[in-house]
Amino acid sequence: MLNDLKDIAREYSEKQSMQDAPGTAHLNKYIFLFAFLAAFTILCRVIIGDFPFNAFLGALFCSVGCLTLTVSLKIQLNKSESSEFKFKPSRILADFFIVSVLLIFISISFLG
Amino acid sequence: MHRFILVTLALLAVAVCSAPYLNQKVLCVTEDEFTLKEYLAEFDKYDITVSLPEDVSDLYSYSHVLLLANDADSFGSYSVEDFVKFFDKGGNLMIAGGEETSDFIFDLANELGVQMSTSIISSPNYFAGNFDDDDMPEKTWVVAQPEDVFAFPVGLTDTVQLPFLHYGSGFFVEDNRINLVIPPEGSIDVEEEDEVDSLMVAFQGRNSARLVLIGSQKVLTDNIYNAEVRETATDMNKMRPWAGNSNKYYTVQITKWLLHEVGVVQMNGKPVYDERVYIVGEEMDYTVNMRTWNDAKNEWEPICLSDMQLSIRMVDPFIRKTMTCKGGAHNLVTKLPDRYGVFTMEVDYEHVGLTNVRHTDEVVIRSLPHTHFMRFIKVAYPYYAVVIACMIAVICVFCLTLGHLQTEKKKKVE
Repeated sequence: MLNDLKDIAREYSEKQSMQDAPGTAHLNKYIFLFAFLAAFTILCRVIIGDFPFNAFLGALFCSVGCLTLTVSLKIQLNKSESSEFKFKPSRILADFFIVSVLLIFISISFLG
Repeated sequence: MHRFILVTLALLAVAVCSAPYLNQKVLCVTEDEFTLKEYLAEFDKYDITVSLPEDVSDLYSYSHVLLLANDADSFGSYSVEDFVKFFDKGGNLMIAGGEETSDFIFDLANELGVQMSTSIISSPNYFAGNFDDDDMPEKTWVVAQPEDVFAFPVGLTDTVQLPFLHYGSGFFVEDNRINLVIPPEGSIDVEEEDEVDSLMVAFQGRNSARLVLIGSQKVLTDNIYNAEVRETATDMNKMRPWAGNSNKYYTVQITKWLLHEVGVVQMNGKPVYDERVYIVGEEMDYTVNMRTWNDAKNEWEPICLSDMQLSIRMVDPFIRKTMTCKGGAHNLVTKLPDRYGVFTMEVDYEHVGLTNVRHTDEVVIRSLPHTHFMRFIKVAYPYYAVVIACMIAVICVFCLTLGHLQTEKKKKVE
């Protein structure tokens, strides 16, 4: 049963990486990292409790927001030739950077 | 809320015995002052004016009035409302009932919240007395046992040991009228055949004016003071010995309470606390000094009241705590309520037999300024670490993606 699941996961990831544009394979690691940070934040909240609730929210939104931004970066870079918005890759990357700076700035301010 | 009647007479008078905020003038309204000689002699330090009921004049210049004329229909030119007004203004009043209580006295007692019985009280207990009084044939007077006499006021050190001899009206008391002498079982109003609640009533108003109602003037007379009673029995061998009574001792103590000699407490100066604007969660240190009038020494001395409370309230009390006391200084250290607003700190002391003490202070509590919030909370360090990790990861993503895109471009060009 477990072997079947492993096979399915392996095949799926291979197919996905085949479809990826060449320069975006490394982004998968960071997506997993942000997902792990979000889970870690929730785990901390369960252990510590509700005391600095703004700190919990700040960390959660930061990690989940960065996750979303990285995913959107990957999608945009992959589909840059087939979508109707013909953006240059550098433009996409610049968007990602500016928005993530804004997100982190707001999140730090919310941490208190 | 005390009325401080600072009278220059107090400076000129010989010995001030009642509390200094009242003048020493006592008006005794009676038709038979000769029988009250021993009673009035106890209070010779006061400026006592004895007058007949119809000669009552200048009522409001007195601090204390003893109405010992139960069958008088009119008291000078004053009406029942005038006497009630006298009491409202802070004057102390003693009212005596008796055999033929006039409507005036009856209405006056009613206005002040005590209902008198319409006729005198008798009881089925058999007592014999060794005094002569044509108005008091046997079985028209009542003997209350010492344990039924309330040890009042607070300054009364010895409880009453001897029975109390009562002649006259009884009273039906409501809740907050203090029942001083409980009648023996089966004491009834002779005409109406109602069992009464009390033979002597005391009451203190919100302005600390004191009121005492006694059965009749005869309770205070020399004749009764010196009388002896004993309980009779059918068997001559079982007769109890003659015993004196506690009338003199008790009525003098009650009158001392009435004249504000005992049981007077007052705030000594203003309460001491840091008068500034407070922030939510700060500590408040509130001190009240209390003093009591010592008529033997003729001066104020500090007193510790074990049940004095401070309440901090905004409509409802948020905090209400008992203050600790040391040498007259009552102190409370407490954390202010966790809410911003304008609060009232109130001392509202009402103890049976002591004068009422009321004082309010206002305190403003502000919410936490934005610079006073906690920063870098140790518990929240994991969250800070998460955000810093995200920051570093974003920079890595950016740099790496940029690098990869550059290599892609170079590859394409080639």
